[in-house]
Amino acid sequence: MTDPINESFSALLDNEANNMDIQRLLNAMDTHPEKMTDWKKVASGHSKCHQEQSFDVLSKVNEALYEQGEIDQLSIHQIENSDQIQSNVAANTSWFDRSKKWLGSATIAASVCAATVLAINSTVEDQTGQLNQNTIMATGNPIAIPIGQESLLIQQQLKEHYQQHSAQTSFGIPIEPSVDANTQNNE
Amino acid sequence: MIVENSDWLLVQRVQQGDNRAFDLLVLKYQNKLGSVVSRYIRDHDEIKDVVQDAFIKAYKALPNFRGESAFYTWVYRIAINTAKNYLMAKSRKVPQWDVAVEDAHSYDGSERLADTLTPENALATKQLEDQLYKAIAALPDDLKTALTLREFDGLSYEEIAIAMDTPIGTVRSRIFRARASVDQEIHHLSSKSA
Repeated sequence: MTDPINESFSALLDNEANNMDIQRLLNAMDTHPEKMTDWKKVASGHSKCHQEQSFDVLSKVNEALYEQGEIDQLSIHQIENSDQIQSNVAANTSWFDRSKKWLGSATIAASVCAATVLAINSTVEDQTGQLNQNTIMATGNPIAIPIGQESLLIQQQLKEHYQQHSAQTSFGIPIEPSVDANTQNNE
Repeated sequence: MIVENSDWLLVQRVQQGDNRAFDLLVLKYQNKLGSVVSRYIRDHDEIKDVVQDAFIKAYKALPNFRGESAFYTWVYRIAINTAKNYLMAKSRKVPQWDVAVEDAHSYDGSERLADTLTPENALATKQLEDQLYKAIAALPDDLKTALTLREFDGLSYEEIAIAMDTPIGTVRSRIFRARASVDQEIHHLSSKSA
């Protein structure tokens, strides 16, 4: 009975792995993360032949690189098979780091709220009444849209709003009514 | 000149942004680096810390690695320097002797045990040797021959295939199965003796 994935890893230990072996191993890390446990045993068997001790630092290396921002995410193997890593990461994160993250989130949320209030006020105060307030209100839903996207949409709305008013003020160009405004007018 | 082998293929993948390839390099070399670092530091947990630190440094420096030396030779230097810096930071004596980088590939963990031949080490070495020979002796003949030719005689898969008059695929399979069996058998023997 053959075991191509584990045989590829064994070949890797001997510098006998080719591109296909490496691709197979990389794929297996996603599709069969449990194989990495077998690989540690194969590597251990290889090391014992040379009277080397076994040292397992893979999880710690990944954890450290993740905490230092060197890698974007832990490997699937670690996420699925090592709940301890996640709890360690949480436990090792200092209260200062957690506070910084919370403050960052709070700042973003406050900015979004301020931008939304500003946009609504601008719209209400708009004497022309041609920018549809409902458009902004609809996009201001904090539950349906992630904060980053929401902020981007509001910024875009504000930008368009200011551009329209700048054009009107500078050149006396009439503002094009929005689709929603048309709909409302028709109604 | 670029040293092309399996490691270089993995290094290129890491440099292209595939972090999983670095995991394979860690899996491949963590025991070997641990054995090298253990020439400088005896405590198992401290060795792990230094090896971990060495791999982190290697990962960060990997974008600049051009393959002019073998990956192992390169990471070996990083590990040795990390071990020495660790000892200096702890105000401990840094050994004056060194393992030559050129010998890095052929370095055998048993050399360290011979260097630091305390009665405990001598006993541990003897036990591991006994367990290893028992584990290899328990293998079926075809696995035993393939493993011995590879691990102790250093033959390539192609050379083993010729010597055993069998396809390379079979050699790969036999070596893998032999390694898995040796690890299992030694684990079994260790737990029995404990």
